[in-house]
Amino acid sequence: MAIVTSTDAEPAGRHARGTPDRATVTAFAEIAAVMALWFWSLSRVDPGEMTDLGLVSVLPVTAFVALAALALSFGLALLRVPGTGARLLTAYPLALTLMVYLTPPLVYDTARYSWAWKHAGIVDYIDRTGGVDPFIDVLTVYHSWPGFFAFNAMLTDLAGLDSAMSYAAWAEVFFNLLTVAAVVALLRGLTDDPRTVAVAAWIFVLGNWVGQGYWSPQAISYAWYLLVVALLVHWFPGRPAAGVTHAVTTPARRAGLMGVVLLLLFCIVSTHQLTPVVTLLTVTVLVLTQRTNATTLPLLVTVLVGGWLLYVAAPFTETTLTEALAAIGAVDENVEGTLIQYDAISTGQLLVSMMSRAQTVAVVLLAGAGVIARLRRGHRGYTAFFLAAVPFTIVMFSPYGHEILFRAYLFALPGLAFFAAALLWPPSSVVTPHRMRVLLGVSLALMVGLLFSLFGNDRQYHFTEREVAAAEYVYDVAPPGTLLVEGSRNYPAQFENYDRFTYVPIAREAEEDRLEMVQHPVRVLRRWMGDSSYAASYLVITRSQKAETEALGEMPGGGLQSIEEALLKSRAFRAVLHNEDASVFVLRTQLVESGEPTATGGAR
Amino acid sequence: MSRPSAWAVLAPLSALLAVTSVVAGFGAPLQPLLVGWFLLVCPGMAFVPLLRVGSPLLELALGAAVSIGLGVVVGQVMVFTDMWSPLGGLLALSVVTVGGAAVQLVVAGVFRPAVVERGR
Repeated sequence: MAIVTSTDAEPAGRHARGTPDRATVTAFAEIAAVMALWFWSLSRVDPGEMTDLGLVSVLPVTAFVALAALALSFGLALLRVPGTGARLLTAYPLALTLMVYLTPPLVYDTARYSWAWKHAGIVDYIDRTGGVDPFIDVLTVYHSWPGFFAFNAMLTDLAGLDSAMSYAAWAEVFFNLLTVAAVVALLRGLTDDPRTVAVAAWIFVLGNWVGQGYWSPQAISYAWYLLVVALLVHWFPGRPAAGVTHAVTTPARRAGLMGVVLLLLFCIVSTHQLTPVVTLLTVTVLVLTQRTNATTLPLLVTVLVGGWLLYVAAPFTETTLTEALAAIGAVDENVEGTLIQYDAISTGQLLVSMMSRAQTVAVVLLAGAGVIARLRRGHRGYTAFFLAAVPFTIVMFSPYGHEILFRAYLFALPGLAFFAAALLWPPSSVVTPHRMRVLLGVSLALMVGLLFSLFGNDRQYHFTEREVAAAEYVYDVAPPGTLLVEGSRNYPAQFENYDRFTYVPIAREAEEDRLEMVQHPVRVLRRWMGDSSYAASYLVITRSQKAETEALGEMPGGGLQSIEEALLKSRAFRAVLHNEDASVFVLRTQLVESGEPTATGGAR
Repeated sequence: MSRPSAWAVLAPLSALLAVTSVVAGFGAPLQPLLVGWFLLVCPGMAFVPLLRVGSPLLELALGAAVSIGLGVVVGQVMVFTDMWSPLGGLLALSVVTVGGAAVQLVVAGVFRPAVVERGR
């Protein structure tokens, strides 16, 4: 086998006459074959058979073979593809991204994650009213950062679609491809070696189990953040770094690139709450350590963030300021809230959670070893170190809905992946089969971890069309001022007319109330739903609510299943919609008063 | 002077098709495809080739990021000024796109403003 160094200069994957070399053709043929095997495997998946281990419990053996084959093909391509043709090796992390993120829309009936459905509710609100209401009671925060939703309201309306949910499931593929492309651009600002870049992007995809690339403001904000950092590091460098060729361009193009940076910074600030904080911290450190010469940006971002918080988002800021200030410096509480309690969850979910933590620890350890290895080799380029370290400082500022540690990990991941790659495939290193074997072993381990951590909660995170039908029924027929009692918040909810309701999720009630509910469901729900201050009252119980409350141990006794069974037998309640995956109940007295038919919905 | 990117033609053409599909009400599947393609890719790609970033992957990623960014700005302006008009937003983005494409053509020397011609 030919031994070459990683930076041998040859035409990019082509012979002199312009035809692709055999190794490159072989690599692309292997990628195509592996993807065909993966997607064929998905056609044999029945999500209804899923256990609390998630998607991995229903994947056929051929799917695992496909993933292993892709890892092997990547390793061989790292050895075979010559010289700078190795830039084409980034096709591997892109192919892996396609395989992973095309899976949910191909396997499930509808978009996964209940939050995606809530986002559609804001889009629906803007499309209906043409504005936002910063003082609204439910999903308030989105009305103060409406950029993503306003754009999607425009897209949905112009495309002639009834709802943004028509395309939301496919957005996960789009955003993750965009993210990986941005990561590759960022990595090229850290090293000239295309093999190290490809390996780092590969580790990034394998390590990105946090699942924030779905149809959400944070998905696009994250891509914008990565592109801003990539542009600053590559086109606006400070001190020169060894092993990196910074781009040289004309003043006019630099002005254009800075225009793009400013546009993206404004979009980050006006679209999401957490990303601007990380952006401000990262840009400030890059400027202070002379990693970029864009010295006025920290001040500019500070002004933008401050202006948005104090003017545009003032109603939200005023109501949450005390809580936000209390969280600053409370690192223990902020981190503790991120980690779920193991004493209540099911065995399968325990394994999934432990795999997620192990995945995180593995990537951080690989990166740590990479830092040491680079220091030993005499490398003193600190840009990647700052990119990996600075995001973790956000745990000092906020618990961010009990997610702060994993969000910090996500922002640090490009830097961590670079150092992991610097360990596994150092820049300018000699290409050897031994490196390939080590990379293959690490890749296979991370692949297993990714399947568990990214798809391990999918029994509750995916929704069937029958569940959507139940939710659609309620949101279509309920009048403004309706009380909506829900088994839990985890189902396709709030995607239309969401402002008409007062929401009471049973799983979020106090422990003694949940216990009373399970023991005397008919009595308790008659009291709740008989409240005459509401125009109407509905109760929704779905398969995904049951799956979540069982997995997390949120409901005592027989849980939501026992409540549903009791109401189906009760003469006080009527199931106005009942199918295999969902039930919608009302009080019979409500039906008599409103004159509604006592049974509706074709799915009954 | 350099050769203009194919986007100098493709982006404004896409704008025209998107506007036509909305005004004429093409419906699914053509209208969502044309509108989605335009809003997600074209306004940015009318400008980004001017930057010569050197990598097709980065160029496309920047093009999409800038397209969505411009859409976000237009959408927010309409929301905060109580002037919600999706078609108006589409037309505004189309004008931006045509402007970017025109700059590409001017830079490439395909056509030049008259004042430049007179000066020579």
